[in-house]
Amino acid sequence: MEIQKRITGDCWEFMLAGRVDGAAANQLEVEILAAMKQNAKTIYVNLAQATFLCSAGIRVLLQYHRQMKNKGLVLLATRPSAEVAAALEMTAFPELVEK
Amino acid sequence: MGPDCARASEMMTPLELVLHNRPSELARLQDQLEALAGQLGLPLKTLHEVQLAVEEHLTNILKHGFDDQGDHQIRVRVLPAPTELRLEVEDDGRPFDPLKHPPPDLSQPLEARSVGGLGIHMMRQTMDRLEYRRVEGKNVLVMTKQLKARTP
Repeated sequence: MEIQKRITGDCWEFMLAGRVDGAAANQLEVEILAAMKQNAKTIYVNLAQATFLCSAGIRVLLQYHRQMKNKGLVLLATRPSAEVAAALEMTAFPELVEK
Repeated sequence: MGPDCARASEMMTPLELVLHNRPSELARLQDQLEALAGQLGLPLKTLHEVQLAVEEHLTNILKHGFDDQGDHQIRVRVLPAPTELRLEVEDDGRPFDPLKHPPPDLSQPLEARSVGGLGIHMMRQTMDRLEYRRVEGKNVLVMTKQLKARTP
């Protein structure tokens, strides 16, 4: 998986391409923690180019979505590919996706 | 049988890999699956669903399967047929039947949700059939994905 990031003020966007497998989930977690450490107020995880999202990836999204929300901040998945949307739907996590 | 099925049946070469119990081995398997799917002309959606199920099962084996730090082999066989793709995964880890794992409670609100058991749930959702057996001290999980015959 490749991660590109775009930082606009205190809004961070991570663009993921390829397989979001266990290793990629760890990589994403490191990036999210770095963004939180630098006081990101909004974090978007763009999944338009992700070919699949495993449960470890969902765990990272859920864990940091909750942490950010508890601080009044935002972490959401955006533009999920069809496969990723299906994974989020089958696990009943639609709230993790930006409407 | 449509031409795609005929093409697939001509190339029904099984893929057999012996992986070691290291996370880096998963990527090797996934790369091989992509190559095989390309040879068989499988739709990307089918490939990604199979990859997801394989990722979840192998991750469970690597995380929970072994009581020691030693080297273990995980044998993966992929058997393509005109109407289905069958994957057999054999490991010598502790006995674990994923089919007996209770399904996750998906009705809880987000704040209360646990992610435990999601991987097995996703395997069930993405594959058409899962069969488990314990044979000679090894776990064998057979995952089958039906392939749709495409018309010309």
